[in-house]
Amino acid sequence: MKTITLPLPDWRKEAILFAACLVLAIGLNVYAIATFQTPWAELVTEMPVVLALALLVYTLLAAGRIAGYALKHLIANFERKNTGRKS
Amino acid sequence: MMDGIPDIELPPRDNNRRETLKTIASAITGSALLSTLPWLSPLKAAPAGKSPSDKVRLGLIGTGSRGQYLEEHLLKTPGAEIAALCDVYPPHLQAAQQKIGKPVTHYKDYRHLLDDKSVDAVIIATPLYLHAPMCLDALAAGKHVFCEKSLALTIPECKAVARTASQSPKVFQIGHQRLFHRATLYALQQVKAGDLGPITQIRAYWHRNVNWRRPVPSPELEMLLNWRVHRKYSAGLMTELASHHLQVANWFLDSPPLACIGYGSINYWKDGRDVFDNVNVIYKYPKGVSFIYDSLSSNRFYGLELQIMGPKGTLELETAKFYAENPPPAPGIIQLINQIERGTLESVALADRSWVPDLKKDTKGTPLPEDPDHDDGTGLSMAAFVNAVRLGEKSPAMIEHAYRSGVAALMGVIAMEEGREVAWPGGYA
Repeated sequence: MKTITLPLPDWRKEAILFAACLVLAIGLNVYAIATFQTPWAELVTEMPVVLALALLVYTLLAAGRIAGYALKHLIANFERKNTGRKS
Repeated sequence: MMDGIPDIELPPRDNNRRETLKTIASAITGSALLSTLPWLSPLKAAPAGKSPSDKVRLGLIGTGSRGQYLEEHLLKTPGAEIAALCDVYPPHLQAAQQKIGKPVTHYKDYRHLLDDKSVDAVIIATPLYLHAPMCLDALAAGKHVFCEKSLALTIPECKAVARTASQSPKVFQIGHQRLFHRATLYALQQVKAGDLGPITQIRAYWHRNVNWRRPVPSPELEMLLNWRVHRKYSAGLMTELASHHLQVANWFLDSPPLACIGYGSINYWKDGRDVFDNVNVIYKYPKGVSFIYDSLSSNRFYGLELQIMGPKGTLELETAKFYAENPPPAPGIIQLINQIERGTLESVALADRSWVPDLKKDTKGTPLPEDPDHDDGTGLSMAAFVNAVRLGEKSPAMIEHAYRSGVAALMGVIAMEEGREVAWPGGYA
């Protein structure tokens, strides 16, 4: 049986990525407050919604990254098998 | 106090009603609203002390379920002493006696209780047909009277009781606890402040899925225990349930109904009863306002509710909530998300806008302040009665509420039974 070694996540990279998502969500909140002319207090009061939004974006990104990684892995395997047959 | 409403908060645990009433007294004193709620006035008096002269000695006539519920409140009311009990049904009498925890004088005939000079006031919690004779006898005997709703079985009886009570120097109070219910008082304040705009309609319903019968140990007790389903002793759903909501409608519209029409029938509980098991009545009030009421005994899905509606909002008093017609907008971020969702999910039109049905708005509403102890007003009404007796403070407004709601309920019964419009029969003077 082949042993598969999964690399540990790079926590620093993930934290930066989540912080970027958070900044994006806060930016959307600022845009929404300005557009819909609601109270600026919502910068604080709507923080749970902003956090949830940031988490959602981060999760979507993570899903995309995992899918990308899996696709890359499959292509590499496919190419390796094809190269083996030719030689 | 908040917005001129007496801040009638009770402590979380009801173990010190004396302190509670002191708090209420200080909150009510000076309330701007007090002039329009005179029946709350006795609550501003300092609670009774512990000396025997401060005690109001009460006779409880009728010790069934409602009588025992009132008894439980009275046992926690400062200044109240249950001095005598009266009932013709020994098991009820025994249960009431046990609640007191010490022996008290008991009677089978209420007239003997009225002869007891040591009793200052009576609480009447008997079947409807007994309200009028008992109230009249009690007032004639010089007793202060608290009578459970509804006032009486017939309109002439309502007139007689209200007239006698208004002429008597004794206190008369009716068991409409919503007059003391905290959320209802706040709702009234909202109406007076114009939060709803003018009231354009009141709608109420009370739906249950029960046959309203009690187990009867032997057939001869049928009429005694199941009086509610026999027309000779009861007017059915209108007096037992609707009278509560009618009282609030009369109060909030500041008028009795001008007339009413209605239909009722026995369409489910065909068990020998001769009161309707479903009632549907429309009352006409001044300024073109209607009060629409229905009650069922065969479906409980919608439970009970009282809805007061105006162009600017709706009050639902049983669940104690206010719904603005144009609620404040959602937070910006939520609006943005909704806009994105609409843009992606609702791009295909299902139909023209005019087709869209006016379904109920799914708004959460603003809760009205409620009593932390979930007192429906009964506790305060008992305290007010005891204080009113102690101070000798009569409230003509209370008699008016009793009369208007009692008569309005009976107008509905007559309209359904006789199949005609019934006009307000005038005052009792």
